[in-house]
Amino acid sequence: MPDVADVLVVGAGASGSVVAKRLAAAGIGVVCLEQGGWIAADSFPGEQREWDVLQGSRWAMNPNVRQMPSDYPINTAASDINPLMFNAVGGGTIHYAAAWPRLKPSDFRVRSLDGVGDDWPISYEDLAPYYDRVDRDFGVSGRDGDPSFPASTRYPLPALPIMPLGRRAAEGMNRLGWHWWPHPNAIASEPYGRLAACARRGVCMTGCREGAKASTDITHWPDAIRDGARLVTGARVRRITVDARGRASGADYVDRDGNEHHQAARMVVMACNGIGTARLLLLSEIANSSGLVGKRLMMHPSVGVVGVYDEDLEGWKGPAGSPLVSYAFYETDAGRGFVRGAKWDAYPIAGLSSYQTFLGGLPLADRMGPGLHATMRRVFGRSFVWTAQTDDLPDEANTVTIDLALVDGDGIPAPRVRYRISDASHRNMAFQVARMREAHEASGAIETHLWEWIPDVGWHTLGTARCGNDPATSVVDPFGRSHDVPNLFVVDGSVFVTGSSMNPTCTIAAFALRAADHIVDTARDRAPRS
Amino acid sequence: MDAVGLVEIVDLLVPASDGMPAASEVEATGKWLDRVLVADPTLRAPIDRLAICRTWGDLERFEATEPATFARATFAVVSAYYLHPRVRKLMGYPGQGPSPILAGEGEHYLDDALLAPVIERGRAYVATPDA
Ligand SMILES: Cc1cc2nc3c(=O)[nH]c(=O)nc-3n(C[C@H](O)[C@H](O)[C@H](O)COP(=O)(O)OP(=O)(O)OC[C@H]3O[C@@H](n4cnc5c(N)ncnc54)[C@H](O)[C@@H]3O)c2cc1C
Ligand code: SF4
Repeated sequence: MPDVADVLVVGAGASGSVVAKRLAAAGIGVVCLEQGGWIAADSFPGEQREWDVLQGSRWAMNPNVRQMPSDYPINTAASDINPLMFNAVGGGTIHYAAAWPRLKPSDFRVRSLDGVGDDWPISYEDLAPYYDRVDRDFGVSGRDGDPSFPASTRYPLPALPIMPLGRRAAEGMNRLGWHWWPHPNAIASEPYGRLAACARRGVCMTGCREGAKASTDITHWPDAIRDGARLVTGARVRRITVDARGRASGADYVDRDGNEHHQAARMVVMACNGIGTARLLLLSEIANSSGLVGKRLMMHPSVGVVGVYDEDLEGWKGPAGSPLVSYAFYETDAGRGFVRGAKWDAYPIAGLSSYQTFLGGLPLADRMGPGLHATMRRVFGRSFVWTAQTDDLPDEANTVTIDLALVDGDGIPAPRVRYRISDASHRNMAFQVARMREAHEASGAIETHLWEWIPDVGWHTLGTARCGNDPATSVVDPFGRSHDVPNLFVVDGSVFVTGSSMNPTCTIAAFALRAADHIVDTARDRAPRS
Repeated sequence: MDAVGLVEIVDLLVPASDGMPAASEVEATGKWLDRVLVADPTLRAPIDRLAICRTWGDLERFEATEPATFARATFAVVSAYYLHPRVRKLMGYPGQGPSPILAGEGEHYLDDALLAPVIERGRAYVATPDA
């Protein structure tokens, strides 16, 4: 390991992987510290009979439930939504559904267009070439020509089949004249690079044994390591260190045996997600002259409506990336009583026992006991869920702070999350639920059920170190460089200015790649060698 | 845990009907529940709470007073029941097994110009105002 790394990347998740691969390819000496380890594909629980139980326990999305050694606790007592994440090489891409939408042009300009939130300091057009590149790097399967976006380059792989459920959903949307499109997913529909073709097991959110889903342990790290990047696993960073001039000088970390280390570096890149990066910046007391580190947390309140149909839709089959998307209610319509909107996805419902979680509206005797079997015969495999992921706008009262009592397994103070769903988000969700019921009815659903997921919808942790041009009102610049500490970058979902309604990883990866290009272009001039 | 009591109450929750076996006929409170509890040991407490119910009325009161614990208990019960191969077969559920994508399958679902109306409506986004 080099005594002094050219660039120290903290976190080997989506964004850290993108940066490490790009910098290593440019010959820059990268050391990455990751608190988790490599997860062997054959350890994923997807083939076990009790998979649906395991996805609520050892393989839960919620680190407070999962409690793996690599996880850190999060105090969520004051949060309407639980932050969800996976801490390992690959980070959240190990667990994600791999739905891969870009943000829309309007998402970058909500202040100008809708008078709320703030404009981003970059536009869709600035990110477009990076979107194209990350689509190729992650092996995205998609269908070209969605009129909901500016004309884009071609997806590297054909879209995944929309399956019988997607067809049924599409027919209803066509009847109503509402938009839909086969969803782009970072799941290989055909063998691609190191990715195998998807076998549609539908267990994507507990890891892909097939190696078809683009998690960065597969798509990025082998290249980064080949090109010289050093990835240190089981390395939990407790603090970013600074030198006498206030420049980042490396990081203190603790290994899995409890030994303390320091990794010196000429530049530090934070890639710990919207919770972990805010936690570390606050613990290190750096990069916060704006006072905005840890503020403006956004987590996408989401809700679903299940439709039950009179035919077998093979509704348990994967992938549980999204087969079908609709942007019919994405953009602002002033007549609705709220601005912005939601992204809809039509998802399969894997497993048998998961059905109980949305049947709660039925009397007990209809969902258990005398009515159990008849109900299950009616709904199982014959249902799918429309979900609405609503736009989330920044509120400085939604925060990540440092908990005064809770610590992780290494004694490092844990984050405390305070997040309240706004009235506008509640109105948005109520509106979307009504429209999703209409969509199911237009598709011929024989019944619909509200599926309330909150609080376990915090898949996307965004906004806690926003980017911007003004050091007084933002933490990092449009390339992710700290306004205060010139050799410190933030490249994860913390940099989001507004939430959009989109699954964010495509944009996180594009922003990180743009930041990495900028580092390659400027780092050697900027970082003095001591 | 009172095993006999648990078997009886679980059979109330999962009785024999509509061509499906009762929970007790497929060892749902035996080895399959054990597997569920190994997979998630935190389900044991809700199951212990369930085991003190005797009647359907007890179940309704359990749900009314402790809905979250009741939901966890019934989740454990149905999870155990649906692990049994015979039950899965009767439900027509093969498990989350592989189902490789066939050549041309993607187009198959779209082949009757399903997307045509979406395309015909044309552009459906708000452009960057200052671009
Ligand atoms: C169940 C689930 C489903 C999802 N589905 C989708 C989807 O379909 N589409 C989509 O776009 N997004 C999805 N997401 C979100 C997606 O996973 C995240 O957007 C993405 O992983 C965020 O990338 P990141 O680089 O910001 O952080 P992460 O990928 O979370 O990586 C952060 C890394 O930093 C490490 N780290 C944190 N703190 C420290 C420390 N102190 N020391 C050392 N290492 C540290 C962590 O261990 C982790 O590996 C999903 C997430 C979950 C949990
Ligand atoms: S459905 Fe496809 S992507 Fe999902 S786990 Fe299975 S093989 Fe992997």
